[in-house]
Amino acid sequence: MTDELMRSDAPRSYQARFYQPNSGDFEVVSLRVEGHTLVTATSNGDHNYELSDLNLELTGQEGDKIRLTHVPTGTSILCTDKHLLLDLQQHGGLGEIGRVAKKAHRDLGSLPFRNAAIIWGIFGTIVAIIAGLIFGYDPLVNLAMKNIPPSAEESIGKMYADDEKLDQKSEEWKRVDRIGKKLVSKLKNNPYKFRFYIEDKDEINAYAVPGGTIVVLSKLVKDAKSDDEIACVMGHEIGHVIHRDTLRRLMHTGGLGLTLAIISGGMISNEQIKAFIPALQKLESLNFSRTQEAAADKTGIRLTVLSGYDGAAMIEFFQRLEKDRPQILKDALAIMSDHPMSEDRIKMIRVENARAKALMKQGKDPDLD
Amino acid sequence: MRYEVIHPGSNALVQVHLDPYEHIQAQAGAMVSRSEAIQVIGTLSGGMWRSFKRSALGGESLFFQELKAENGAGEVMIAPAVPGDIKVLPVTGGQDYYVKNGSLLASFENVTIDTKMQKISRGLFSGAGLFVIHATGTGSIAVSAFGALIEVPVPAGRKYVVDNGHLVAWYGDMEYRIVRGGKSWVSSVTSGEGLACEFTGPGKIWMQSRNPEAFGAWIKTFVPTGGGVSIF
Repeated sequence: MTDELMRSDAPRSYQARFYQPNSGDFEVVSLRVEGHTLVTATSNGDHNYELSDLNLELTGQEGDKIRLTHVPTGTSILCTDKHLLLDLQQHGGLGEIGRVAKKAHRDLGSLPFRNAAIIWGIFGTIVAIIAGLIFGYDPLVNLAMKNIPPSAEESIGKMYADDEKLDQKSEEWKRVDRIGKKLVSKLKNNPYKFRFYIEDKDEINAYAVPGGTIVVLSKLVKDAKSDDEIACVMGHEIGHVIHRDTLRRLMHTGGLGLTLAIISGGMISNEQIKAFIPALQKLESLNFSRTQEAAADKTGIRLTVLSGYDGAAMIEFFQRLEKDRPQILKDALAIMSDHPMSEDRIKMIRVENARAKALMKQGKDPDLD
Repeated sequence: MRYEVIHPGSNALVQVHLDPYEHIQAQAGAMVSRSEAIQVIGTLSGGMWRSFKRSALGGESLFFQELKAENGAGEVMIAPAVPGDIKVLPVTGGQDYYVKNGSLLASFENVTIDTKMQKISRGLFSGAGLFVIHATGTGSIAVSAFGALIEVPVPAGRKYVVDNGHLVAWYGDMEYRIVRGGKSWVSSVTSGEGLACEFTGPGKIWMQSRNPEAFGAWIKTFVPTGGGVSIF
């Protein structure tokens, strides 16, 4: 039934709650609008109220209840049927109650949309906050890293090296240290004190710790056929150090709270440095992004060539590992799962190697940035 | 169907007598005992969406259990988890109720239970939570409290203030706003009264005599935090 049809019908009855003055109890009654009167059928008979004596407002927990207050007696009548408002509008005419009923009817009509708008607004805000945290987290991390000087990075790295049983005595270490020192001697404006370690582990892998600590696993050194191959891997890890990739991943693991604390503090504190300890314990499992790996590859190859090694030796190393895979335990091949030698990567390594060698021939140093 | 609160007070239960095929909806885990004729069915009361909203937003269990007299007339007893009183409130004449999370024990006959979001200010500071349970229809609801359950009628135009944490249920006809517990913010904080809910009548409010959060904080003072010496 349309609103217009409603208006032309005989008085319609509405269920309502009738509150006597000074009482919180209600009686269920029936209302109808007749002429300029509101007729309320109660258990004590009909009560008639002049429309001009009634105050109308929307009330209730959600503002969806129609409350009519009889001003002279203080009686309150509550109803939820919005068709009552149409009746009051029609019978109230241009009077106060007719005008208020019209506005109230409009407000009730827009209530679901307002409520939906609030809910969608809250939902949108939550999504925006989450998106901001996901996509805005990197800028925050970059900002925080400005407050972490190389000396603080070295402290973080030293915490790791002191904690782990790392080797700086064996023949493997001497070889790695010699190659590493040759590589870093080509770095310009290097703020880090690079330290090289051997970790005795039956796994082919290497990783970088913030501040210049490079750890090469013993099996990699044993399986490498040349210094060029070791230099390529170490050059890649040195690339991660000077790009501060490991520190950036540790900051992500450390959480938003730590990041904001470092930003607001202006300088990383000793307590905040210690907060990296849990993340350092899972250092080997930290994964860099493809962009970070590619950047480390480029820097590593250029540094390797600049130091007099063959930048493409990594390709041979990995291809040999791939070929010998059945003989090598799957667990030992961590370096391959962490840094898969895809076709694109092989192509990039060859191109960078050739470019770096060409520059060297021209008497120019490859740019390490 | 007949239902009554037995052992009123801190150890109240609701005893329900059901005629064949009659059923009630009760909070999951509220059943104390049942006769042979009663079957327990876990239902998504009001449908999956309403149930999910209720669970995710209102603190009630996703599954309100349905207790039905499948095999003839039967009897069932239900009780809340916390010690306190229970009241059965009639849902009639279009009157609706708003009930604080976790305080709705059961609904009887044709009552629909839903979750409604309060205004942010009310939701954050009323003590009732951002989402409250909304009961409409025709029938009754059983609400439970921590401690005594006190009914307060509020006449039209009058105001009544309830400390947040003590609020249990109220008529949907009433409006309320968050106010300071004391005369000023300083006195609100120093008096420990904090924030409160000011209701405007006409209608009724139900409040509990004990504040669960305050009770929990008091209990915590006796719980060892690790290390130290036990006195036992």
